[in-house]
Amino acid sequence: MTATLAHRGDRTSVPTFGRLLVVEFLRLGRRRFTKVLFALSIIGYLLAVGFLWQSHSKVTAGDLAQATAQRNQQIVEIRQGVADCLKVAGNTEQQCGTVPTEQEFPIDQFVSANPFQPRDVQPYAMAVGAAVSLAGFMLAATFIGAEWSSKNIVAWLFYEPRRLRLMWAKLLALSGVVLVLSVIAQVLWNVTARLLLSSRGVPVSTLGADAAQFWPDVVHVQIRAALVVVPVMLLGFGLANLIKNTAAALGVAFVYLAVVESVLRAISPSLQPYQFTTSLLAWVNKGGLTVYGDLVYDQKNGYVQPLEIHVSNLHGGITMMAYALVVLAVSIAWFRRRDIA
Amino acid sequence: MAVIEIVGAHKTYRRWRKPPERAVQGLDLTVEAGGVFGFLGPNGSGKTTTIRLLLGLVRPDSGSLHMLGRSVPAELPLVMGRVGALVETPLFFPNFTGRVNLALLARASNIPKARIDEMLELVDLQGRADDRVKGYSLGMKQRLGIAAALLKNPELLILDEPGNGLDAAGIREVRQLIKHLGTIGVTVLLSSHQLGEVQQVCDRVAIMSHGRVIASGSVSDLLATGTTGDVRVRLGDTSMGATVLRSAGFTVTALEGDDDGWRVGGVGDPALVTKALSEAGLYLRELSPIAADLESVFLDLTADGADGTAGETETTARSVVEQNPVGR
Repeated sequence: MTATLAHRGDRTSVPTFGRLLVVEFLRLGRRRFTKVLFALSIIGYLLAVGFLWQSHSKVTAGDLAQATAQRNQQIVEIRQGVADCLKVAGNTEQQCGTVPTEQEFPIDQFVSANPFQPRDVQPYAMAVGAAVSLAGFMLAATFIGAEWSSKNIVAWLFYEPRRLRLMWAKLLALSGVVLVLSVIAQVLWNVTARLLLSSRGVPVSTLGADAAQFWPDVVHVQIRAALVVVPVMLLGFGLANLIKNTAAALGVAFVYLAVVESVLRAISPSLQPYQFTTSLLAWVNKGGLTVYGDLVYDQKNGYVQPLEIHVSNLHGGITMMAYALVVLAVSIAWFRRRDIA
Repeated sequence: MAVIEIVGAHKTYRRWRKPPERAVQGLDLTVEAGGVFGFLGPNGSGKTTTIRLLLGLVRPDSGSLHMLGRSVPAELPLVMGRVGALVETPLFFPNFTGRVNLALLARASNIPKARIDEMLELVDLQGRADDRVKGYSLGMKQRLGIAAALLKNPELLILDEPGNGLDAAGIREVRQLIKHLGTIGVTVLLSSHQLGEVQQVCDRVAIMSHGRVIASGSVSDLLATGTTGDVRVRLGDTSMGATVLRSAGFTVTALEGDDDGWRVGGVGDPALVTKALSEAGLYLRELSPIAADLESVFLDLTADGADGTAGETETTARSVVEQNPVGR
């Protein structure tokens, strides 16, 4: 220690919330885990797209024309069959079946090549949402877990003793980054899906009357899939903040989601609408999710069948968020009061 | 003006399935502005808990705490910008470099970048500033901790065992730095086990035991309480001299590691020793008072039983406090 220290007149004040936020953004960006996760996500995405590209082949106009003709022929034959059936005395519509529509026979099913299908776009969007959510969970849990394991949070409390303020800055920075990345991932998938459909798939126009609603439906699913990351990330943050250990938080999350909810589902199926995993699926899925509850006696038909329970998007979203907020609130309330030794 | 004022503070840790641990029991402590204040006590005496109470890391069960004139922990945000702290092992992100760790703290508090280099130079870390903290030795981490504590240009610096992990040269440098800070208007609260260091650096000290302060005052006053009036005597004929002094009514014991020296006790007036020896035809080669050091005072004060009753020196030490209140 060679230098001497001159005591300056100017004094340091506690950090403003904006400065805390900037520092948390910087820390998040500088973390090796963030960089590794980001790099792995890019590599994983490119590999997945490469695989999709490789496993599908382009459909030519000739293929499409042939498939359309084949589809139309099949519809004509079925319609003829239904008409012939109804001509027989005593046959009802129930016995003969309904007259098929073009929407019930998508052209892609008649293409001999293996093109990328429009119907695959939504499930892949959900898969992207799931992958980003998992990454968000890990990022959030390790972000706060590292603070506890290195006890760096103590060093920060020497600068900002208002614990809630410190925590909000971390949460806001994390939520912002994770949500933006989730949206970017969905935008990227949307662009990729369009490229795949145009170059290795079946055009959306082949969906006939459903074509106009196709992309709006995809975007709605993508918005919900992008938003899933928020409660999942909050859950990861809350658990790791409560347990003060990243690995333990991941373990608890796994045991609860994979084991406890499965057991609950088996013991009491009617509780499914209130479970996290069911709610997550209901939130993302177009139109929500139908689950089967406890067995009930159907007096009209005279047999026992499981109760059908419809879980709407909104119900799923609210339930999922409630889980995340309860865990987060408990962890923050405890952090506010706890002795830090 | 008191920079730290603690009155009747209590803190008991309650842990699941463990008996409650009374860390601080009716603690009273006043630290006046300026200089270096030593905070001593055996392990588990409550020093670190006291520091944690001041820094808002743990909450008191009762009592009042004030730092720089503000109530703690309620008004801590109003003063934290003027307080630097290093508590036990410094805590940094191991995968970030030393410079990045300081830069994050500096950025949050709007501290100019130049100050980071200034601090790194001050603690001799400029050569390793761009290495990851996880590759630092304990001593280097300690230096970085000191740099982080000083980054804010604090009025009050709280250091808990700053010499941990430092080599002899490092300890000396930290000592010089602390002394220097004390002279330029920073009040330093130094908690340490290294009593020799504390004696050299501190103007005033407080000694804690079983969660309360059992003695406090200026270092010289505290040392005076441990001074017995015994003298060191060195003679040509040691065996004869010892016999003469014993027969004159003094207690004589051999000095450890000193073959021709004796410790003579029960001496009201050193002239009586000279007189007794000269009457026997013996002449002194040395007669000097045996001064107490901080270590012996500390050990006397804290050498108590498990019931928490302090040693007999406590009464004397307490009177020092009464006659010479800390920092006044």
